[in-house]
Order: sequence, then structure tokens, then C-alpha cells
Amino acid sequence: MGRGTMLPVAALIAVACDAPFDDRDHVDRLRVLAVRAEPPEIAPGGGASLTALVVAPGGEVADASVVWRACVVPWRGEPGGGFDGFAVPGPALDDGAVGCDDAAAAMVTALGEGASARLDVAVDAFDDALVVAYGEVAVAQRAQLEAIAGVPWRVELTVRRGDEVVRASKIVRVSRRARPNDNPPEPIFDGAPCGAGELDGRSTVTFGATLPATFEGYQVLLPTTDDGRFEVLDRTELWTYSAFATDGDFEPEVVKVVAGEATFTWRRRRAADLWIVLRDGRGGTSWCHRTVAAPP
Amino acid sequence: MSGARARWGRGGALLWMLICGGARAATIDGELFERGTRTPIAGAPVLLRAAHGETEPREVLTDGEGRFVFDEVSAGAWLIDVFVAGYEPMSRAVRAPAHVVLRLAPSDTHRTVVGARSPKGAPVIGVAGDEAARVPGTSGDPAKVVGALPGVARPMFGLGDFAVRGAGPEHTGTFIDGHPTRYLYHLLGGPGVVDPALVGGLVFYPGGAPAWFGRAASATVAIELEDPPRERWHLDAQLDPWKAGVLASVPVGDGVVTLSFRRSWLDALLPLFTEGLALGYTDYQLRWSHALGERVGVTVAILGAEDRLHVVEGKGSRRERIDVALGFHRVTAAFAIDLSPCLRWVTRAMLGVERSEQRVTEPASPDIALGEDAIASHLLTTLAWRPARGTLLTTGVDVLWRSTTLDSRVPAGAPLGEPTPAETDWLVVDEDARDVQLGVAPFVHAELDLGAGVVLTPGVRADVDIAPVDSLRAPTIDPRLALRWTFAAPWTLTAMAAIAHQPPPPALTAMVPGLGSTEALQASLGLEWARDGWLVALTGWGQSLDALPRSLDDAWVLDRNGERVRAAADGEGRALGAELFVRKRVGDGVHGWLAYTLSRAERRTPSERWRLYERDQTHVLHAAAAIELGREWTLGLRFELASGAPTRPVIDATYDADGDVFAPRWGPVDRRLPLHHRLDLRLDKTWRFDTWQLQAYLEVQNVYAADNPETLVYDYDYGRARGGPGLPILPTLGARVVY
Repeated sequence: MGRGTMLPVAALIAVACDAPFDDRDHVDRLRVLAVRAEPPEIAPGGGASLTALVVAPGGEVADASVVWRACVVPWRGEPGGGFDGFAVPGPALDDGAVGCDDAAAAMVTALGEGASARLDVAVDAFDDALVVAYGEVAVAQRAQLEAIAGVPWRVELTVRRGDEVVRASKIVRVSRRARPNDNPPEPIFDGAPCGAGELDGRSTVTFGATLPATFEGYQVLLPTTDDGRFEVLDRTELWTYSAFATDGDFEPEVVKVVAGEATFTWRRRRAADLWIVLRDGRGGTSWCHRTVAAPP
Repeated sequence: MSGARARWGRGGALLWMLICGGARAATIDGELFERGTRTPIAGAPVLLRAAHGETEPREVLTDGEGRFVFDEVSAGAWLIDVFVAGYEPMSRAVRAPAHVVLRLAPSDTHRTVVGARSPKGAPVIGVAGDEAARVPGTSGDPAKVVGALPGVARPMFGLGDFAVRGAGPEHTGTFIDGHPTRYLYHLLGGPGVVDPALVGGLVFYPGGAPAWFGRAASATVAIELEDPPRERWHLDAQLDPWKAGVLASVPVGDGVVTLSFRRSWLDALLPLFTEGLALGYTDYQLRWSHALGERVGVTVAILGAEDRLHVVEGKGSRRERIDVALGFHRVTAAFAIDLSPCLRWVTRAMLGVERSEQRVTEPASPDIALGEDAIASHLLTTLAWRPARGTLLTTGVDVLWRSTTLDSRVPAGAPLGEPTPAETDWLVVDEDARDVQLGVAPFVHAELDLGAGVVLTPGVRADVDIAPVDSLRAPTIDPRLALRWTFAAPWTLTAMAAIAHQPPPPALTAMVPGLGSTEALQASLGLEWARDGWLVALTGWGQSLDALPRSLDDAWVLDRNGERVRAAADGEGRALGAELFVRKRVGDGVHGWLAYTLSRAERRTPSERWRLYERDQTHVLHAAAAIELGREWTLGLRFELASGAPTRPVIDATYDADGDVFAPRWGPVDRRLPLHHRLDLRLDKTWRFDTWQLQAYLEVQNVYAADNPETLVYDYDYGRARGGPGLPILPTLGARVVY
């Protein structure tokens, strides 16, 4: 009965919830829109520089306090489908949000304060982190984990400005992958790069990126086998654009990249700041900021 | 016609003829029916008296077909008077000779109540179909009355999933004519899946059900179907804003054939008001009952139901479509024979198919779907022996075979090697599985009237798996014992203790064959006072649940041998409560009940401490009443009050910069949604014509439009929350024609 009624209940709630809540693409408060690690994946003994796209209704924020830290949290999948799950919002089990404040988190490291930070991972720290993340595993599993999954090093940042506080997280993957990931190139507007000045007052925003000839493939592990080993699955990067602005809203909010360009319809009344964030689906991130004149 | 009265009638007429000088003799005959139904009224006294003069009146009784005859009557004016308990009196002037057809209208305090039979000693609430149908909020459907009974937690949106005495809704066993059924109610708070005109009664056991009911850890809801009147053909058509239905029955020999069909038109109606929701459902029954002599009865039926729900929410790239389909179709056969005056053998068999499918579709994302197809067969054979007055022994076997095919296309969770996939890039995995279960359960049940007001109802049932042979579950024994002791009329002490087992659902046993059954330990102790149609019952109860199953399929859990654990039966539950039930039976113009439940239900898994169960409701109050206003008007009221569901507030949320989503951090289950309260009203009116009747009702659910949020909904970053939707004010106007 529980499974049978779960979706109808969700459906009822969904239909009746034409909530007057704010659109997520409208920047009307202090927000973190993206976090970028350069490079997004590192090998043991390597390091990555971290920057965050922190914005507010007035545009990009430079005067906020940004505190960075990193940790390793045990991976435990997503226990769900419990014997009584759906009646209460949120998971039925006590798994809560897994973060650096979690009791099980380990190797919590302060990365400093400022607009950017740096994460460095020593080789022996990687070995310790593997145990924290996955426990003591068999040799074959460890080899899969080292070469493919790596350790998802969790980076957290807390942004404060006045009374406003926002938190964000990002995973920097530390692994012995043969070909670590790269960040995608910055989005471009109408063929012009970021920082090329104010755009005219337009209602349709078209932008794209310098796309690779083919999207890069990579591997992930799935815990789907019954003997505790992992299934290796081939994936292909899927690039997505997300649009945010200080006025108006977009349709759609997120565009999956299937060609070189993406188009958003933007309804707004005033001049505004516009941000486009490009993600490659496996941790690579870039973004672009433009100011746009008021519509005619 | 009784011999003495008939002789007196004929003698009186002869005497009258002699006194009056030998006027010409004539006959007055006729038929007596219930007005509006064409049901003959048998054994009713009919009085004949002269319209003028002071002759002695004559009286005859109607025969089995409602016929009566006054012969040797002089020509002229006469009066016929009929006084029958439960009907309005009638006086009709006739001029002999004459043939008259008399139709008596039922009085407002009379109602035909067909109660479902239930064991004498078992802790049970039986509700006759007619009584239940007039409870507001049921829309005339007796199957929906369960939600107003004691011990039953208020379901979200009034849906038909009833959690009883701290157990989950999945632990409530539902049966139609003794066969387990996948669901009793259409989706989204719809009516029962059986035409109300075929519902003879509904029996609700909050625990300790008779041993022939099994494979349910907690309560039992059983609907018994009955035939329309056999002596005439019958037509019953109904219409309301949600659906239309028709039922027809025709006597065939010593039996009756009945066909009913209902179809909602919400799938046509709702799109006129919203683009986001479409719902359609259908149910049908074809039923043949036949009596082979006085001792043998056979019933064969085909019945089924189909539901389709389509929901579209969001817009643009976040537009999501949810499709839900449920259905079952089955053939049943029942054979009952009285082997002797004290020995009865009943066998019921069922073969059917069941289907459920849930699918979520988003633009540019893979579909997510869960499908479950099952072929099921159930056999229940019982032999009931009444060796002495007050003693009934029942034994039998319950056999269930079910072959389930599952096909799923679901998110793989978080794969290792990439961040949480964005909403546009779910990684889905396809999986097919099959689960076959064959279980045999012999049982013994007894009802023992030990005298001195003591009725003992012991029973035991053994559930033994026969298949799958490579992963048999350990056999389970379910003993149960109920006691009723009327120690000083009208006071009765009631007690019940039972152990019940329920196998995990096929979706879990397909992953982990042999996964253990949930075990429930149930106990109750109560005191009843019953007099003059009133019942007041106070009952305390406790229930513990062990080996509650859950899926670990999305997690990475290994056992000591390094084998992956995909499901576990390691949850525990416990609940304590008390119920007050005050009931006024049909009669005297008012009937109804008040049910109040005070309880606390908790759950835990091995890694948890005891916490509130999500369906825990400290206070649940139902008050339902129907008042006969006269001239066949009935006013029904139902008030519902229940503690808000426990909820886990979001403490804060972190923006997941890789997945472009906010991840909430949930607090403990330490808050509740606001108190739920709601009033429903229902006004019924019957217009009774000679051979048919028109019934109409106006029902308003949530009369004062109480804002009863069923959940909290959050802003995209969980920064703000507000109460989610609840049932709005919902008026319904319905009509029914019965011929």
C-alpha cells in the first residue's frame, strides 16, 4: 500500500502547490551560484584552487566573508525506501545531511578565509581518506575505488554578509584516474566572451560555449552487484547551462547542451545582472557574468 | 393465511350476508408491496370493514407473495386498512368486487439493515452497508466508513490507506468475499472498488481477526458482497459529479444474475478546470448466485477495477508528468453446502491478475518507472460445525499462490565517481525481477459460549511456505484468543491477544528471497456497556511490530561475508493506545457513533533510538450521526479531529554546487503539523413512487473550509516553509434511481 500510494500523494501535493515562492533563477538575496575548483579533479599529492560565485541583488559580492574548509565523509549510499518513508518530508532514517559537521566526518581541515582558497591533498592523506570514505575493503574493490571513484573530498564554504548566511559545498575528486577531469570553457554570448560589456535590452538570451568535438567519457561505479563488488559504468559528460539574474525569470531555468548554443527566454522589466553557469555533470564548472540593459 | 383467522373471516362474511338479507356475494383481493421497491410484504394483516354501517371487520394475512383475498363479500363500498410495523398505515376505499394493489411506504424509523456476520467473541466492529452509506464523507459508499472507526489514523487527503493502532497502512489486510485484494478504494480518496449496492456489510477487526484472515500484521477490513433482491428484477442507477454507475439484476431460476458497472468521468471533467490533473477509474462486477435446493448455494463472480491518474506539475524544463495505473481483475467462485443442520462447508476460490505502474516523465530526462504485475490465486475452504448450542468450531485451509513480475527503471542513487547527478542527468538502472510465493495456512477457529456470559474465541493459524523451494521462509504460527464476559448485564469485559505475521512485499522478496515476515504482537482489554441500542466501549491496547522490512537497495551495505544486503527486515515498532467508542444503532430516528483514540506509535531501526512514527496521531476523534428528519429526509454529520502528523523540520540547507540543488539538513521528528479538523454534512432525501424510488443527496466535505495542510512545502533553498495543500471544501450532489 505504501508504495502504491506514494506517487498519488506526491502528485496531489505537487498539483496543489502552485506556490508563490520565489523562482530559483531570481537573485533576490545573498546566493552562491557556483563553486569552481581548478582543476576539478586531482591526483594524490596534488592541489586545486577554489573560487565561488557569490552574488546578491546588487550584482557580484566582493565584501562578504567566505570561510572555507574540507573534510572526508563516509560514503553510505542513499538508504531509502524504508518501511515508512513518505509521510514526513525528508528521509525516514536518521541520515540527515552528510557534511563536515556530521559526526562521521573526518579529516576536517580549515582552508582559510577569502574569495578563494586552496585544497592540497598529500599522498598518505589519500590512503587514510579511502578508509574513511569506504571502510576496509577488499583489494579488488580498493583498486576500483582508487582508479575510478577516488575520494570525494568535500569542500564547504560559509558566506556571511551582514545578517545573511549561506552555505555551499563542492566535491573535489581525488583519484588515480588516468585522465582527470577539466573545467569546461567559459560560456560566450552571441560570440562575445565574458566581460565584453553591457548587452542590449533583449528578451531572449542566446549563448554557447566552445564545445569539444565529442563530449568526454568517464567511468563511475555502481553498487549494484550482489557480491559487494562494483559495476563499472561508462558515462558521457552532459553539459548544462543554468541562468540566474537579478530581475525576471527564465524559461527554461536549465538547458541541457545538445548543440553548441542554448537559448533562454527571459522576462524582465529592468536592467539586470545576468549569470550563466556551465557544468559538465561531473564537477567541472565555469561561469560568465554580464550586465544587461533595460528592455525597450 | 392462518387457518383460524381465515375460518373466522369466512364465517363472519356468511353471518353478515345472512343479516343483510342475502346480498349478492363478491370478492375483494389484492397484493401488498413495499412502496418504491416492489418487494412483497408477507404475513401482514389486512383489515376489511364496511364503509357504512357497523358490520364486524374481517382480517386476513398476506401470503408469501403479499397476496390476500376476501371472498363472500357483498357488493358495495368497503374500506381496507393495513397496519404493519415499520410502515406508514394505509386506508383504501374500494367497491366490491375489486382487485387492489397496495403499496406501503416505510416509516422513517424503519430501515432494512443487513449486518455482516462476525464471530461472537471477536473484537469486531460490523457496519451494515446501509448504515455506513449514510455517514457523511463517504459519498454513499459503505467501504469508506473505515476512516471513521476507532483506532484508525486519519489518512492524508482522505485516501484509502488506513493505519490502525500504530501499525502501518501496509499492515491492514483488505478482503472482498474472503479473498485478499490489492486495494479497496479508488485513487485519490475515490469510492470503494465495489458498487455500494452490492456491499452487504463491512467488518473491521482492529486486531485479532478470525484465523481464516491472515498474512496481515495488524487490522483486517473485510467486505462481504450480497445479491440484490432475488424475487424480481432490479435496476439501480447512480450519478454524481465524480462518476456514473448502473446495476441490474435478473432472477434466473432459483438464483439471480447481477451486473454492475461504474465509470468516473473525472478524466473528462477535471481538464476543464486544471491542466495538471486527470483521474479515471472503472469497476465492474458480474455475479451469478444460484440455490441448488435448500442446502446448497453457488456463487460465481467476475469483478475488477482500473484506475488511471495523470498529474502534470511544474513548467518548462521542470515540467514533470506522473502517471499511475492500478488495476485488478478476478474470477471468484463460492460453494456452500449444509451437510447437516449443524455442519456447513464453504469453499471460495479466486484467480486474478493485478497490475500497478508508476511512471515519472520529465523533458530531456530518462523516464523513471516502477511496474508490478501479478497473477494470484486464492483458495479458502472452511468446515463449520456446531455440535451444540453456543459452540461453533471452524477449521479449514487458506492457500495463496502469487507470481509477481517486477520491472523497474529507477535512479541509481549516487554513483561513485561523480557528484550527485543534476536533475537533468539522472542515472537510471533497469531491473527485472520475479517473485513466486505459494503459502498454505491451515487454521482452526472456535466460538465457545461457556455460559455465565462468557464467550471465548480461540484460534490458531499456521502459515507454511511451499515455494520458492530454495528460499523458504520459516513457518509462522499465529495464535489468537478473544474473550467476552458479560459479568453483569449490560456490562461486558473484552480481551484479546494475538500474534500475527505478514510476509514482506514482493518488491523486497524479489531482491532478498526468504526475507523474514513481520511479526506483530497485539493485545487489548476493554469494558463495554450496551443497552437499548446504545453501546459504550472503552478499550486499551498495545501492539509491537518486529522485523519490519525496508529496502537498502540504494545503499552500499555488505554483510560479514562481503555480500551485498539489498533489503533487511530489521525495523521495530511499538504502539500503545486507548479507544472510546460510543454507538447508537439504527432506529429511533438517530444512529451514529463517536470514536476517540489516544495513542502513541514509535519506530526504530538498529541504528536509531525510538522515534515517533510518521503516522502517529496522538488524538483522533470521529463523530458521525444520521438523523431522520421525517418524510424520508436524513441529515448526516461527521466531525473529524486529529493531531497533525509528526514532521521533521529543516534546520538549514547547503547549496550543492555540483548538482545545482539545495541539500536540506533535517532535524529530529519533534514537531507536528497543525491540528486537523473538519466537518462534513450530508442531506439525503428519498422520493418513493409506486414501483421505484429516487434518492438524492447533497454532501459537503470540509464545510467550513478548514485549512488542513497535509505536509510542509519549502522554498527552493528551504529558507521558507508553509503549510501544503489540504482537502478543500468539496460539495457533491448525487442521485440514485432504484427500480
